Amino acid sequence: MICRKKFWLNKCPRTVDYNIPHRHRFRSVSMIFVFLLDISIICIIINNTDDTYKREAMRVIISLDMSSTVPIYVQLRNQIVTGIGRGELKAGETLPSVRQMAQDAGVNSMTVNKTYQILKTEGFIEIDRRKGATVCPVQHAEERFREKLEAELELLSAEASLKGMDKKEFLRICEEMFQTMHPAGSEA
Amino acid sequence: MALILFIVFIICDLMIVPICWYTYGKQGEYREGMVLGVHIPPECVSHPEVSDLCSRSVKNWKRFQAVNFAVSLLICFLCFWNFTVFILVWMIWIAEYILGLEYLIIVPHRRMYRIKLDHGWIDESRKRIVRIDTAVSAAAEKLVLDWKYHLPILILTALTVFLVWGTQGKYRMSSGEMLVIWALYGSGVGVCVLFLVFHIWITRAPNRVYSERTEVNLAVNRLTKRAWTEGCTAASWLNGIAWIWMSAGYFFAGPELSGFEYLIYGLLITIAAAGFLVPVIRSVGKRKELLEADPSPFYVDDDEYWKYGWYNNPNDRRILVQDRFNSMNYTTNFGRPGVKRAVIIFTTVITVSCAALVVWVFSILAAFDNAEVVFAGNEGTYSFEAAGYSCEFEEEEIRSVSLIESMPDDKFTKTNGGDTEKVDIGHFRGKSTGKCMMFIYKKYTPILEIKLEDMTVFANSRDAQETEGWYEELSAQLQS
Repeated sequence: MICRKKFWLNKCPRTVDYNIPHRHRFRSVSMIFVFLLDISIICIIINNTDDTYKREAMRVIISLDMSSTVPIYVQLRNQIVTGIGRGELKAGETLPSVRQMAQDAGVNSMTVNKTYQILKTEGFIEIDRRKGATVCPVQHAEERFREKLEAELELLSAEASLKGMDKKEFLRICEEMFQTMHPAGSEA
Repeated sequence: MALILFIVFIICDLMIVPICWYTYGKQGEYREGMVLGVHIPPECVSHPEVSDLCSRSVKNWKRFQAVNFAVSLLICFLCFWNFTVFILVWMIWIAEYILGLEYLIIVPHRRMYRIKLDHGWIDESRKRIVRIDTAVSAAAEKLVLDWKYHLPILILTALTVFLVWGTQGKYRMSSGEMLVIWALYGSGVGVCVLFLVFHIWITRAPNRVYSERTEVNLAVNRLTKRAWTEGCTAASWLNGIAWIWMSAGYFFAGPELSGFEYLIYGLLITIAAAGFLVPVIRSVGKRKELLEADPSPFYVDDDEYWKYGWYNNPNDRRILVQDRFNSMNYTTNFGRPGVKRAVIIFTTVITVSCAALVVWVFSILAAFDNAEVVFAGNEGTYSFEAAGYSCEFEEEEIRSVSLIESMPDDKFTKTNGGDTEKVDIGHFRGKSTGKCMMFIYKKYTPILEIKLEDMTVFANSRDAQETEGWYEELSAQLQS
């Protein structure tokens, strides 16, 4: 530095020397450590194999027709009952939570909650605050259920009859349907 | 400076075009029951109209990408001629590229949908059907990595605020000098928070039913969600580690980090990005294998909601849905009330912000290119001002004043200011000189060196006599 003119007033100005060797060593060591850490994390991610979820789970594929005139909660209820009837949902198994079912179905959680309440009232599931909704074992038909069954069968019989179906054909279809039902705990 | 900008932009262009080329380039293949984003029966894929449209679409796509790739690289060489012109040309190119991508994705899709309608390839039974696999729904929480893995690194990253404060106190840095460090701290913590929010959003995303077989549904949902959540966690950790290293470096080694250290920080951030992308990209290939091996796939024919090229379904409560054209991406449901308005507002804000940022950068650059150093002295108070930077000091703070022919033999690092071919203006820090402010025309001498209590000021004028006049005025005041 060439100084043409200089005027000092008091003491010499303070200078700061940042070239302290241990700081460079710190940087080098820390850099190596950080890179090793990064590589470890990347290796953990890469080696984390996607082991297939092997838990033996109950299986019901529920299909909801959003354009149908049948309300969503009724469709949901019917399909869960059918799943229980076919043995796809076994006694003691847990249904998805209300929130999860609503998320996956893309419906309001109140709709799913209503469905679960109906199923609980009808005795198909029970709801526990900790376990969630679980499938109930087979129960004996109550008088109220018999009345409901008779009313629905009356309507179905009337429709079948008006469409020209004979009794034998109607009973054959009923028998085929009934034979597909294997709820857990029932007599085969 | 030009070289650094050239390298930055060429790396950007080397990433932008190939990524878009690859991620959206598979439209012509029959995947998940779709071709060009439209569901058609498998036996219709070989129909002459479909084959012709697909082959033309693929050809146009490849040609568009190849041309834009070459153009984007060539444009970067304008950096060496004129930065302003380069930025304008690059912005025009990126706008053209984005519009071209939209055209080449949407137009073939619409044509394909028209072909589907003309030939009646609509399966009414598959329309508006929502499927839920109860086994997958019940296992939803086990399909993803717990978001709580983000917490340790988020807390540690946030705690680096003490290192930042410590740096400010230890090296007696001014607010202007600390701006960059605080911005880096904000981005370090902000990125960790962003990935945490994204992780939680993925966790809550609906599960999809791909097949009649629960094993396939479980495997694909787990593969996808696990990959994304692992990617988020890895990226958050790697980003946090990068910033913690940087802040520790500032504290222990000083704020005058060299370009090499910033390069290392950039590399660490790039590794963080890789930490996010690696599991996601790996999952895409495996997902494709699983779905192609499935003998009983389910498809929901919701093409009428995609017929314009974007998703428009008022009956779907979701705001964000998986993109039809790239399953790694998400798009908005324009059928939801308020979404259109929100997208328009968001797009406008981003566009205006980018334009404002460009104008601001240009104004800063222009200010530096046309900077005039102004010296003022009034009743014992002196100041230097140029390009928006200023330094004011009292007569009592001056320790020495000297006129030098060249800058001291020291390594100066810019902490907040401008360093162009013509001028050095702003806050700098020298290895031995320490904290200093510069108002220098690089090709002019002499240079006035004013040593204050806590820093040094270097200043000069294009006119040597003016500089000498400043020196005479200051030294006369000190003598008196």
